[in-house]
Amino acid sequence: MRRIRLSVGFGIGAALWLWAAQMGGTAAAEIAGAEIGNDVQFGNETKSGKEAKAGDEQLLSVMPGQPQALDFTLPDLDGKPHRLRDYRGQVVVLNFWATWCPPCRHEIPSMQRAFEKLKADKVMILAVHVGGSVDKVWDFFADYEVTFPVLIDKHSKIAKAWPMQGLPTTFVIDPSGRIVYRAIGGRDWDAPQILKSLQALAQTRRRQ
Amino acid sequence: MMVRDLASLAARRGSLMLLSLLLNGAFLQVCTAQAQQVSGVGPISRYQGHGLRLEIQALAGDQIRAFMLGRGFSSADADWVVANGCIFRSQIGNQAQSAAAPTVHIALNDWEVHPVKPSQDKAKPKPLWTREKWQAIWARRPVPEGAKIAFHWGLFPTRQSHAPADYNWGFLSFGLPAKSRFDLTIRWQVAGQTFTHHLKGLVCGE
Repeated sequence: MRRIRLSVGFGIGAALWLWAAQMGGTAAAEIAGAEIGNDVQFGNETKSGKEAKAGDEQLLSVMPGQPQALDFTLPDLDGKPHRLRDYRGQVVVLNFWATWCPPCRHEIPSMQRAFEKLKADKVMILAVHVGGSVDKVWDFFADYEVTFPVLIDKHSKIAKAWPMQGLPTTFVIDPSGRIVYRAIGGRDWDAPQILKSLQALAQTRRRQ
Repeated sequence: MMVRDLASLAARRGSLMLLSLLLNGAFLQVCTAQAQQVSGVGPISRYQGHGLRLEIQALAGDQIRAFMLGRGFSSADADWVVANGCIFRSQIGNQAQSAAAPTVHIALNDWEVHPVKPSQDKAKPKPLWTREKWQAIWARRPVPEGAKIAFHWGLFPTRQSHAPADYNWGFLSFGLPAKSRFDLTIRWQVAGQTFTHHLKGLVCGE
């Protein structure tokens, strides 16, 4: 028991959360209600269930009403201000996340891969960290290098003003500044289906 | 020395290095513990049907303390949450993977907590402690703003609509003393129809 207390007592929230989530495969599971027969997990987690098919969780939902994106200006990790409106004319993938949020941490590397693959299409990715723990953000990116701007929403005012309730939530904004897609929960952003959607949106811009 | 005492000591001395070492060490310990099938967290309850996919599990007190201390809460606040919050982790979302499937609407205010008394008599149903309830609790305590922000976003949203493939992770708080037993009635809406399911025999962590 002492070992357990030491084990769980000081882990970062994300590690513990993940650990707790992964306990499903090892702990005796009490199934109440309709059982999920296999280890079907959410989002990007390992899937071994019959219902999970490759690439089937990479949907981007069409944003209801496709409203104009609310403009904001936020500093990046170096303090340089970024205004959303300045990216008008490009497709923007706007991701709200936090270091302590496991699905957020999981999808960030895939965003970097997508960013690199979509360079020719000039798709911009902006990752907005909700909360002001800049040191923890720097620590995170010591392990996962990204080259797209990471912005800090210190007081979470922007996150609360946008049409979202949980982390991660990601919006895809078209070149005219309208929110066209939304994804609640993590995605693999370099999955072919998502890359194709973003490229199609960028090509629409070129044709206009 | 309890781990939370170590955390306080590290924080007081401003020793980021010590804190970092502790965190990294603990992460490795967590991985080790996982392999050893540790106890200390509750069983997993899962449900899938009528568009909804849900998985919840009680968190142990030390898991909650770890999250809270890491976000800037005091030990006293963390202990209070462990004693009174009855925190579960959750993964809840839309079961469907087809874009044509309907949206699932979840409102935690529609859920009911049914505490089970030792006498086996059921008490009056209680609401969950949602973000709004916690906002009121933190307003009465001197909590750093950054900690409140993290706690707010760490809780499962009070109301949320999930399109196909959408899901959320988040804490559910049932507002019961540690080790309490209870049943939970969950409700959700799909295409204007309300569905209900009962999860029985849930136990708060300690």
